[in-house]
Amino acid sequence: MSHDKRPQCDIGQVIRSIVDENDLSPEHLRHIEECPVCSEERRILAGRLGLLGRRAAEYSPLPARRIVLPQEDHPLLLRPGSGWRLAFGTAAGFAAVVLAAAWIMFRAGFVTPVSHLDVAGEMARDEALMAEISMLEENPLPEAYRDISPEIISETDEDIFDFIVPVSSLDRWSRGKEA
Amino acid sequence: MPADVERMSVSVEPVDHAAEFRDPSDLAALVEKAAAGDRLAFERLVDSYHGRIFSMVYYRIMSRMDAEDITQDVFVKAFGGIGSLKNPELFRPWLYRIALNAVNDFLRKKRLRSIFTVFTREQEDAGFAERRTGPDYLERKEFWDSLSKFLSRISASEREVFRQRFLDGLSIREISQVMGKNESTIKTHLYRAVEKFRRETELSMLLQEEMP
Repeated sequence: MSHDKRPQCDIGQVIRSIVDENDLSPEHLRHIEECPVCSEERRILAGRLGLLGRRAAEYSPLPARRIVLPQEDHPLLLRPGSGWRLAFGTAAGFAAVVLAAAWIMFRAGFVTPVSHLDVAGEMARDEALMAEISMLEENPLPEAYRDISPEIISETDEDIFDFIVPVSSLDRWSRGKEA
Repeated sequence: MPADVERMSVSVEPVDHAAEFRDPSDLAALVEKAAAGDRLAFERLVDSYHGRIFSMVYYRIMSRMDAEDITQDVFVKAFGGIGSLKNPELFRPWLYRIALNAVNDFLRKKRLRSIFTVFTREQEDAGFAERRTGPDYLERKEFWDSLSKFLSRISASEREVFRQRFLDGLSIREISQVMGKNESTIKTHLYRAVEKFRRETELSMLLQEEMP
């Protein structure tokens, strides 16, 4: 029994020869070249693909505008290694601006050093304020009204009694009674 | 590959707009000068690749005005970044990668805009307006419609590899550098795309009519 080891017609090999003929063995390449069916298949397919590219170029417009390049040479941003330099420069510049602003504010009095005495004074003012708030909570009436409040009248405020019930009418009342 | 096996002479290469750089060392020398800050050298690169990059962008977005804008951006970015290109031989894939990123950014923004805007067919076709009066308008329209239908039926990876190989004329190695994938992956995508292209009757018939 003998086996024919010659390559047979195979469209896959024809396509492979178009994609990259270096991938085919010399036997397959020779077969595609010598076999009338395979060589015709390859000629048609490769011809169509070549024509496709040429037609695409032919049926496309040509560019009408000229390319305008920036005036300066290679921008700093895209030079090799410029990324690190730029980042470092930006960080240093930002730090300098922050320090300068802090120094100016310090000199202008926006920022003053805080001592323990300042803190103690601040606490005392807070305590006084809280005491005032507590007093207002306990005695909501203003001082002027507090003078005529019942608690004070109930004590011995003769002037108020005189104002409400004058002494003369008391006299009259007592005299009438006597009469 | 043994010397006795002759390479077959069927070409699948599209039109080469950058024909003046047949010798890669010329291109590498020019790229080196441009990378060193030679503005004139970069301007020569722009002259050589302007058409190719414009076409590459146009094939993907099909709008002349937008392709002009994107191409301008691509060269400005390349001008800014060429100093960082270590290997001048990688200039072509590097430039195409910038262009591909710019196209993808544009399409992403366009998709986002389309959520909020109702596009009419007329607005989308604005790029074709300037060519609607030509005698071969129908031929062109039929070609682009057929190609667009075919490309919409294959996967995104196959589509991009197919475009780069047969429309942009990049080599397998260059495509792998642009896409950031290994060459065997690129070949697999390309194989599948060509297999589907072979079965694509509408586009095949259209091109068949023009074949000798």
